[in-house]
Amino acid sequence: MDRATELVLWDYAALSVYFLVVLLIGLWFAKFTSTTADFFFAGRRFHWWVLAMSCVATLVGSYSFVQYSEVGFKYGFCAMTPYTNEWFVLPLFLFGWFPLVYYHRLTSVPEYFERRFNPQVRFVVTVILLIYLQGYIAVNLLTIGRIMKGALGIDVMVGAALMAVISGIYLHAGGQTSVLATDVFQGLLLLFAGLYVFVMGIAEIGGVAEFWSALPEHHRYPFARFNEPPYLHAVGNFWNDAMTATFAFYFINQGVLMRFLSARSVREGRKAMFFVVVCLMPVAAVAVSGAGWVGRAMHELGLLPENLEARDIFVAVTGKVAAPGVQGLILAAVVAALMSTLDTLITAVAAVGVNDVWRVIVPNRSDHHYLAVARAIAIVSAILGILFIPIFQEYDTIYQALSDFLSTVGPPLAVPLALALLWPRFHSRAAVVAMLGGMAAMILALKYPVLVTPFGHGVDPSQGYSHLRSLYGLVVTGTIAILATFLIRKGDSNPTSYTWHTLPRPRFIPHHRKLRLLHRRFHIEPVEDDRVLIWLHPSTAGELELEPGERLYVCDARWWLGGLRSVSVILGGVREDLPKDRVALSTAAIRQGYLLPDRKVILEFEEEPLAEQPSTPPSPTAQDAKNPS
Amino acid sequence: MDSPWLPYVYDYSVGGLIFAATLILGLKVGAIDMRRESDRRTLIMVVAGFFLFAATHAVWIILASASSGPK
Repeated sequence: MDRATELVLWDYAALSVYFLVVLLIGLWFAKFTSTTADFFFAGRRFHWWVLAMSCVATLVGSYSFVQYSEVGFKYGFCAMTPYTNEWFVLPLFLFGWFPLVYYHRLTSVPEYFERRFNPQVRFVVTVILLIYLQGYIAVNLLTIGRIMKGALGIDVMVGAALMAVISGIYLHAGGQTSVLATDVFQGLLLLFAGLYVFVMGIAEIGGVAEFWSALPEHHRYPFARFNEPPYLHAVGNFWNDAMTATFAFYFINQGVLMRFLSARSVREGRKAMFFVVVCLMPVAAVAVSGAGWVGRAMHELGLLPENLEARDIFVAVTGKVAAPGVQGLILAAVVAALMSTLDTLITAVAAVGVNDVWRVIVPNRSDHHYLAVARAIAIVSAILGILFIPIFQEYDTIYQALSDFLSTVGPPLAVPLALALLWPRFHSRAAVVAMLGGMAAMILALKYPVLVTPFGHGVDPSQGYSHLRSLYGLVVTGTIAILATFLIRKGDSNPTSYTWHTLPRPRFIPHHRKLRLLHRRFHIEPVEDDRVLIWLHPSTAGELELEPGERLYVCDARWWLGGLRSVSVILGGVREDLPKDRVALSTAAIRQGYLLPDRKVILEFEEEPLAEQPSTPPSPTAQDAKNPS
Repeated sequence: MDSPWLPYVYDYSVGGLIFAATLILGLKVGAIDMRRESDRRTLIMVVAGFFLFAATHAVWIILASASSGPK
């Protein structure tokens, strides 16, 4: 939506309703935030489908509809590639990075580097990561500013500021819980809008067969050509998208990491990730590229103007197929794609700002204090994002700005993180040298593209190897890291706990014990107590082979809440006076889990690592139960 | 135009090598514990998903090659 579109009253109404609904959802879910664990990780209580749906909204950026429709129009189905090639780094995420971060209760990427190496490495990573996140926020705000200018005719900076204010309001109040809730809504909206345009477009053409046969032959393949044209080719897609961008997104993007850390368990996080990669990403690819494909078919059939520019294809197709009011809804979906990415990034900056900067400068303060600081940082981050916009306005296209920015920061962070995870010998000095050396090499390659020639795969160098710069960055940073590991005097390293050779293991719960909890619902009996405890009837505890001190997960039985009302508790003992279909829960547990005493709950075993289990019958406080480490 | 299979082979051979190497290393160092039902199930799903996508892309290329377009 780079140019002005003709919106009618219904479109403005749809857009206004969208903003209102997002604000209301965000503010309503703010009541589920009372600690920093709630603010950053939504209390670590959510089920897989909430994470998966919300992830789609974050994965689809504000530029996606316009950008991928343009690629789809020019090159066909290969526009889907960036959304369907995440398999190659998936095993390392599912079996390495995610369980390691989750079980160690790490709060940020820089914190991992401190635990694995030392505080100096954490400092370097914090600086790079904050630049990365703030730059990403500015690019997203610039995109939406331009879209608002095209659609509503308001100034870019005013449009960006408006979006920042709306995000800032619900983020300030609700943090990650609000982000999750609004992102589920926004994910559904943007999938619906994209698929609507695609389906209506095919109907306009006359059906699937007509659509397929109208496409030029080379547009029908799922991959781009191997090494041409210079600005889009399969080899570049592989190294830039599949390897570097995917790794950066899932491993380094603090916002995405926090999303998965909101899972109630590693198992739920893995399920979410798998569902995203297998189901939601291909659907999202169709949603964001579909307008380009049907646009190409319409163009070939003479249904669109001959001189139509590729970058206008999303607007052109939307205008042709969308009914009055729906166009406003589609604009709302584009805005949703931005808002959901933006709120994730701002929460990430708040997390890094509090955990990696403020807690280091001002340690040992109350959780309430850090929560207040996190909220303040969220506001400051949104303001900084607006102030950074002019830096990216220099570029011809936003995609080019984003691509150059991410490729400069991506490999120098990705390689040290991968080596830290995989190679116990890798040490602190080598990590710092690799990060700084890698960044210097990437900046040099921007200035002197000839440096990338050895990795060119026969691609025409006239476009500066924009896609293969990532391969160059991976190889150069990796080489620096390996050489530095062997040549520089060994620095600090703690490989015994923070590589995937020594992952903490969840405790083993026999399947027959889990089966005994299946389909069982319990009424709640509130007990005045400030510890986060549960008591069971002796026969229930005996049947489940539970001992006092064992950890259990208590969740509202209504599945569609997705774990919103749930809490991790410790078995305080048995009570003879309880009916078999009742559990006694302390008021602290009810409060912490936002449980409703008149609603039934289900119980599940907690499978956290054995090392974190209390060895004696406990007397935990609310904070202990939430952060057992 | 180069063969439509070249990008496919490149993606799934180079990417597949990285994919397989990560899984083998994970099994070797114990990050993937086949005694655990959860790890076992996740591993099967990941490998099956990988081959499902590879097969889907292959069928797609065959269909696209088989159909003749206006240009």
